[in-house]
Amino acid sequence: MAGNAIGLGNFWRFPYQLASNGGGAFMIPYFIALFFLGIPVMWIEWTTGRYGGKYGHGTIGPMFYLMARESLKPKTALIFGIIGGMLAFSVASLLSSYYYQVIGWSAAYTYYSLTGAYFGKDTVQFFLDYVANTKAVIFFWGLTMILLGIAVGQGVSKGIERWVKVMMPLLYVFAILLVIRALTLGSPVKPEWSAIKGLEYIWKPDFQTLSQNFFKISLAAAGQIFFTLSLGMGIIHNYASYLGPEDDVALSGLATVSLNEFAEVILGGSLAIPIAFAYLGPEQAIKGGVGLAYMALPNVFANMPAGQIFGAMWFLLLWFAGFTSAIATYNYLVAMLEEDIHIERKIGTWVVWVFLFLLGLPVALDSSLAYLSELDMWVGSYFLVLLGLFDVIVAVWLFKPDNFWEELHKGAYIDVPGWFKPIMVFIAPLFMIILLGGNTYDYWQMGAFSASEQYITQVLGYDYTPEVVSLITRARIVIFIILIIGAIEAYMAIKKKYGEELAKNEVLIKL
Amino acid sequence: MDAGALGFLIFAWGSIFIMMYWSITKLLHHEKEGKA
Repeated sequence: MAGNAIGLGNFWRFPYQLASNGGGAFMIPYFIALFFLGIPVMWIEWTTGRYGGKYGHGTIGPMFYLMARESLKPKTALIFGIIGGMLAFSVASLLSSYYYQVIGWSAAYTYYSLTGAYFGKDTVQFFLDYVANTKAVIFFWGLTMILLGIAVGQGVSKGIERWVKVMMPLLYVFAILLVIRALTLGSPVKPEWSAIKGLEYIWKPDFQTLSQNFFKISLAAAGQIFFTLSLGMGIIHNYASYLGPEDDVALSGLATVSLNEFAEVILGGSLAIPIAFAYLGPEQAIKGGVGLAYMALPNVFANMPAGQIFGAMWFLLLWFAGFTSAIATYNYLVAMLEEDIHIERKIGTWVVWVFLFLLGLPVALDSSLAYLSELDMWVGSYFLVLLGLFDVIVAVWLFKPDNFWEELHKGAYIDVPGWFKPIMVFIAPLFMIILLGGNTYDYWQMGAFSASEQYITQVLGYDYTPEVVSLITRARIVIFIILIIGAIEAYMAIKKKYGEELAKNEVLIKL
Repeated sequence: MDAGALGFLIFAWGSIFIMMYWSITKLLHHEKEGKA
């Protein structure tokens, strides 16, 4: 889990979500979501995964089906299995379609740092020129994908684990040094622009902005908690399925959360935004969007001794952090083919590769990044929280709270305080229902479902042009198709193993 | 730096440090015990 705990989500996604959602306004729901959703859902997913692993499952569809059977007849439990499997498949594949691109950006910036390509240039324009350079984007993304295919297909997880043990601590050390550098930058460009102002933007509680866009900011914050902790994706379930029935999940889950939050809030939060405030100014920092980290950080390397080497090292470490996280989503899809359709791992790896390449092409070919932003809007926030809600409904409500509590404590190194039980049973699901419901209502009001001008300009931050509308429509069609494929796959996977009990509508297989 | 911002920062960073220190030391302790 160490390799998965720290990733691009900390240094790339967190700063841009934070900057575009009001800074101090975002951090309030972020911490509430960490406590009331992040920690409980982490425990729920570890417990669900370990439980499913006992039956030989590594994917969500059959896991949800098994747990839902405790309260429902198999035919009704099947519905929950299909919903869970559909959402997890959609998240794993759609998220990979743009997350791998961002890992490719890190590969490109490793090269550009070494060659000093952005030194002495406008780093915002440099980034925009890079994403408009389709050949370069496809080259670095393709290179990353080929290496991923080799890593997953050859089953080199042992070799990667050895690298993780070296690279991850190095990334922490490097990030700490960069934070010190960032916070001591002063005002290198204009006296009114400074890194401390950036820090103030993040940490000054802004209740007014929050109340004006309550549901949008709160869902974005909850989505970021899910994204950064790899919740609502099926990854944790898959990891935990390899655990023994008496392996600890309570303390391990909490340790994963805390290591990740250190990397995200303390390190990730003190880099891109403060640096952008110092070098690019507050206005550019706030509207930087998905490319913020890549626009801001190069300025530090371009203005320090041996910046080419340090810059290359930083982006290489970042690439590696993204790479190890990407293996997890890739593995989930391969495990699905292996388990559900019995396709050999080596063949399955390349089937998934072609699938992910085709899904990623529209992202690579869109230099405006509107397609990516739209995917991230739905997948990176909405779907993650929705799957989190189903996590609770199935693993706590339908599996029954007492059964869940007992399962969580099997082999546990700690006793989870009793007051966490009502949080898991009532507060966490209520929180998610309010966020999803409120946000859906707000979107409906502003015409988001018909890609209205208000939605495109205010939520996505793009100009309302026919090209942008077309990109958004295409992204939605792809999301819809992937959801359908996910539902069919989950149905087939459950039917294959539990066909007989579904036909009889009574539980036959029980450990 | 604004006092409100500084207060929020100290609270957030402090909570994360405490949570990290507590969980990691406890986990390492149990793993050591398990190996012994």
